[in-house]
Parts: sequence; structure tokens; C-alpha cells
Amino acid sequence: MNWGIAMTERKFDPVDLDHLFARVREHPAQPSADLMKRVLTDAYDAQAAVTPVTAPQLPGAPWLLQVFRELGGWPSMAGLTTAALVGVWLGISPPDGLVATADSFFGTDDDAYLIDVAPEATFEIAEGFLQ
Amino acid sequence: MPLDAMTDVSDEALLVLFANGDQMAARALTLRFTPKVMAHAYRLLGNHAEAEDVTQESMLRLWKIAPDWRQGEAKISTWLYRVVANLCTDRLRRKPGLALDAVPEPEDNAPGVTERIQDHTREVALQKALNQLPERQRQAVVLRHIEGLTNPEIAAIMEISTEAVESLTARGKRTLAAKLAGQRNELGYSDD
Repeated sequence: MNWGIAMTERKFDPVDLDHLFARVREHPAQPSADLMKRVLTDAYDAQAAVTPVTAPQLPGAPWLLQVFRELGGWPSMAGLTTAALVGVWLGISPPDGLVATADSFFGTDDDAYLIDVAPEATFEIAEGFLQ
Repeated sequence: MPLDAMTDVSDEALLVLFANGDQMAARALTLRFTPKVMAHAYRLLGNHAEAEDVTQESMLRLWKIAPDWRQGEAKISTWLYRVVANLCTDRLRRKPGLALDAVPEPEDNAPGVTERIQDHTREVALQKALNQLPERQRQAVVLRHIEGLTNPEIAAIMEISTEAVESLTARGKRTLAAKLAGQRNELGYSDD
């Protein structure tokens, strides 16, 4: 027998709260069109504040600036500068073994004299026509 | 193209896109969350103009935190509900006598007007009763019974245990029932 439970619920909830909640749920407060516009404007403003914007070109040197940007800006410049400095340093003070290794690839000064640029002259030298 | 053409994209993914400057994501997030935030703010405040201000401020906070949002830590909706509750609490403390909206009644010559006037009267009475609840009880009742969230979700929003949520909603509902009981006849409830 559940009379007791029914009476207790009736006393606790004399109005139909669940029905009221359901009604309210079906009719939520709607944002106005103006509010939606303001929220979206705020969103765009926030994006503009954090998204890097393209810097205006400097007058007089647009092509240089363009090349600079095409190469990747300052990060790339740092890499290129480092590479250039290492090249200069290797030229001034090459480490041991570097010259020998380079010679094996590109040859030495002596090798240049051994190149026979006019093979037909060999006979003329042999016969004394050329000194 | 519809404004929210990103219905398949998750909230968090949208926020990442937003932080990267995607304007479509900005529109999608605005459409997805502004109505929810507005509805919740209105139920906590009972005042349309104040609720709109809270909504704009809550969404602004979302835009500002987007670049630093830590993925997987909290749902965006949970975070927003928390922000709305804090902002509403601040406003109610600053303006304790915040006036409830005077909601226009349905026109007399509309069909089914008796039922709609009665529904309207009940809705206004519920909002008045809600506004008389202590803040935490009101928040718990609105989240549970109007927003339809689960107790664990509410616990995450309010940063309390689920047992505490159950206690708050039970007490809140009991207080609401007691406050509305005196208006039983005016609200059209009979003894049958």
C-alpha cells in the first residue's frame, strides 16, 4: 500500500514543479540579435589582438623586405648568418685534414699542370719543333 | 553558406581554430554557446538586460582564454557555466534588489489564451521563487532541473561533491515547493 508515500509527495510538492521546470526548459531566454552581434564583434577583436598581422612594408625598400619575408624572416636570417660565419671561419682557420679532404675532391695546384690540353703537341715537342 | 557550417567539429577543436584566427570558428562558437549562456544567466538573474551583459562578458572571457586553453582539462560548457555563475553572483551581491523582468503577457485574442496566461503566470512565479533561493541552491536547481545536467556534471561546475549537489537540489526544490504552495490557487492548481 503506497498511500503514505503518495501523501508525503503531495505534501512536499503541492504544485507540479517538474511540469513547471519542463515549461521553463521549453522557453529559454533568447539572446537578441544585437547581443549576438556584440559577442561576434568581441570574438573578431580578440582574434585580431592575438593573430599576428602582416607588418606594413617599409617605404623605399619593398623588394628587400619581400625577399627577407620570402626567405622566412628573422629565424631564417639567423640560420643563414650562422652558416656564413662558419664558412668564413673555415676559410680562415681550416681544421686538420680539411685541406687534404678538399684536395682529394677538387685536386691540387700541381694537378693543373699535368692536364694535357693539346695532345697533338706531344709529337711536335718530340720532333723539336716546339721548345 | 549557413553561419554554423561546422556542426561536426568538436567544441575544443573549434576553440583551437578560433585561437588560430579562423572567423568561421568564431561564428560557430558564438552560435553554439551564446544562447546557452544567455538562458542560464537569465534563470540565475531573472533580468534580461543583466543576463545579456553577463552573457557578453562570459563569452569575452572565453575569447580571451582561447589561446591558452588547456585541452582535455575541462569542457568548454562546464567552464562557461562556472563563469556565468560567478558573474551572476557578483551582480546579485552588488545589486541585491535586482528587479525581475516584467514579462509581457499573451494577447487576449490569441487562441488558447487561458492556458498560455496560466503557463505564463506559473513561469513568472517560478522565476520569482528561484530568485529567492540562496545562490548555490538556485544554481544547483537550475543546472539540474532546467538545464538538465547530471549530478556529476553539476559537481564539476560547482566544484563540489555529487552528494553536495544532491543535497543542494533537494533543499532547493523543497524550498521552491514551499514558496509556491501559497500561490497554489492563483497558479491554477486544484486539489484533484
